[in-house]
Amino acid sequence: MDLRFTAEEEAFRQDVRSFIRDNLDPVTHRKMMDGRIPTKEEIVAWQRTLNARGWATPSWSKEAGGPGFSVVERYIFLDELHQAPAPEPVSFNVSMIGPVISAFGTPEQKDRLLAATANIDIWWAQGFSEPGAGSDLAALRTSARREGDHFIVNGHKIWQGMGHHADWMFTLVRTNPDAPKKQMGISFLLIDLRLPGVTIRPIITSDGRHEVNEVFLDDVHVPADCLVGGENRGWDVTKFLLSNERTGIARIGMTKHLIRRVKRLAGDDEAVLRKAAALEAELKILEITQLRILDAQRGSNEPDPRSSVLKLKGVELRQAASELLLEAAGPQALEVRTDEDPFGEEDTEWLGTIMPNYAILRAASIYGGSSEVQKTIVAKTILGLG
Amino acid sequence: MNLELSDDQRMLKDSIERLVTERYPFDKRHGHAAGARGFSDAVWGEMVELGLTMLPFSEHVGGLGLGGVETMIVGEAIGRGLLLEPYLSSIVLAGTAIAEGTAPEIAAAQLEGIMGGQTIAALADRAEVTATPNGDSVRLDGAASLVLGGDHADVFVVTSNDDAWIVPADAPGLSRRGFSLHGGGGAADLTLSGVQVSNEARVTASAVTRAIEAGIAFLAAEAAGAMRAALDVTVEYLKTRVQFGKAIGTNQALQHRAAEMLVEVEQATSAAIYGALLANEDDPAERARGTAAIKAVIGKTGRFVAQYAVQLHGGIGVSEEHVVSHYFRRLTAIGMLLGGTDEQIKRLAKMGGFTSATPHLAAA
Repeated sequence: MDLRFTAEEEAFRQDVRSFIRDNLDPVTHRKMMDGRIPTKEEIVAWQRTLNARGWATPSWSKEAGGPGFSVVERYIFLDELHQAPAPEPVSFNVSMIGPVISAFGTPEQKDRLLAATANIDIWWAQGFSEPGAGSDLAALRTSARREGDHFIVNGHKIWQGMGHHADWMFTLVRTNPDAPKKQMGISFLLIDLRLPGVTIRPIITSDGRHEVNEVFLDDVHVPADCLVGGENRGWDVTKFLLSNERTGIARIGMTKHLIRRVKRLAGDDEAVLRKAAALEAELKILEITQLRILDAQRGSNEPDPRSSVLKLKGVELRQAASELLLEAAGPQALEVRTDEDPFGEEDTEWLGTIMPNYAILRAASIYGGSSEVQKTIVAKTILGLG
Repeated sequence: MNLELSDDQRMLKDSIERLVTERYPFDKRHGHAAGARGFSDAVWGEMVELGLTMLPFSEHVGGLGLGGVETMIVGEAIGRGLLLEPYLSSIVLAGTAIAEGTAPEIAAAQLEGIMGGQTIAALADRAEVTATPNGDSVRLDGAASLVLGGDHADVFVVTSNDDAWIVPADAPGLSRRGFSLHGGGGAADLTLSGVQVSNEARVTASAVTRAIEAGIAFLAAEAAGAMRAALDVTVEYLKTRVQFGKAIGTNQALQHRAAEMLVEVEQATSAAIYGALLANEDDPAERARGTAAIKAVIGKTGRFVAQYAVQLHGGIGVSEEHVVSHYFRRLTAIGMLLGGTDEQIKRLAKMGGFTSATPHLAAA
């Protein structure tokens, strides 16, 4: 047994770090340091910078136009982005729809969409959840009726993260309401958000920001060649997409960034420093858990159900770190500021995002499979309880 | 990075697991505890025969020269079977201190009996003892408390204001009060009054630090083994216990508790692996930080898993006759021995934790 990375992997880590240091726009970096959300233009610019280096799509194989990273390289790459901190490649594009097109798309779809998705010439939104279909995704009701070479789509999608930046949306629609199982009547459809009948409305979240949206679809005529994976086969595509989403990255680097901020604010406040140490102890051990799962994934293409363990513990610690950051900042953090406020002194911690980010990070145990859903997965697939 | 066991390590794991399964079913444990020394001489003898007592020591002092991973494998099996034999106290704690902290010929002579199982050694690390030089010898005065395995030890390594000292249990001026511990095993309080030892009995303070680090790594493995076993027995109970006409494990409230247990068991397993590999770390500061984190985490996870295991068993979980109540007590004890959770967190905070306040990209 050996926990150490190889010399090549360590060199790769240094490469990534230097690349970020030399190429990340200083304003974007400052915003990330502060916990502010960069603008669409800043996120796109960074992703294109990564793409020019061949790194915009860390999970994609060489055949799909990606860098063909090993699972360890992918982990190191994302860990460096999280710790820097720098924006992650847009997950809707890179982690969700890209691999789906690569695995299920027609040759024409691959040609038309893959490179544009990597370079974020198309920004994708996720059209899965509905007001009545959250954790029970297969209960979705948005309908698509085939008419000639089009689908006529009607329904209501919700929680489109960054949806107001998006050009297209990948969507789950019900194409066969009479299927014997609700999962068997679902199709995976790509919808151009500029089509007539599409309305996007903002949802303001508890951090005061506009990050998520709802999308209304009203007799939207979607060309039939926008179907992925075949009619009524959308659930297979979805399972593939969700398993990619769950290939276990605990986002430890993001929590480390929060702990660094806690330490800058804490000074010599022993009570806060002890709570930070308690978190760091668990985080250090979680890193080993992360490496164990990566090690097991190296020889296999199957999703590891222990990824749920990483999500559960990873989110628990990240939320605890954001709570501790709030505590370290104290009541001054209650002053309402916005992400557009001018930067303060170079070496002072920006308090303006601490309360909003604490509030919105509660969503981390809700999206991507809520903690309760993860526990059910663990109980059923690992412990065999049913 | 490679987190697989080697073939030899897997064979070691198989053989100790077989020993535990065959010799230490739970219904035999009570009988073992009733032995003259509070454990089974026969099982201890088999552990010696398997070479387990020689395993961590280097070849030049007569050991097998194996590493932290092998010790972890032993620890996990001991945790699963709730073994009472003095592996932690005599081999890992006192043995490591002697092996690392004395000249090779002294270590070899002392370890011969310890590895052979005839001599039981114990480390008195919680000691207020003054060592006064006295020509070729040293005079020791003071007291030590909660010396693990000290109730039946034949020889002690006693820490003092100046390094530590090998002291035979029958040395004039040494008296002990032995007692049993909740969670299994025993300990002793020692009083030293004008105990004379030779200069050759000196054990370096840095070796005592190494011994405690090894002890904590071992406790992490033991805890991981005990937690995994407590989870297994709990899941089995959830599948077989029927109430309201169905297995209680079909209730989501209970499933989620079991899932939360698994998360902590995985963390404990990781802590044990980290402890095993930290033995190869040359930087003492890095070892100290890692050891504090390991102990803090197993203390917390151990308590969580133990409490949930009892809760999910219902009334039977607090009965003496059910194994889960023994896992509960052993895990509670492990959390408190060799520095409890709060103490470790305090140490880790003092050492600055693992991340500095410096922004990541600003660091070298």
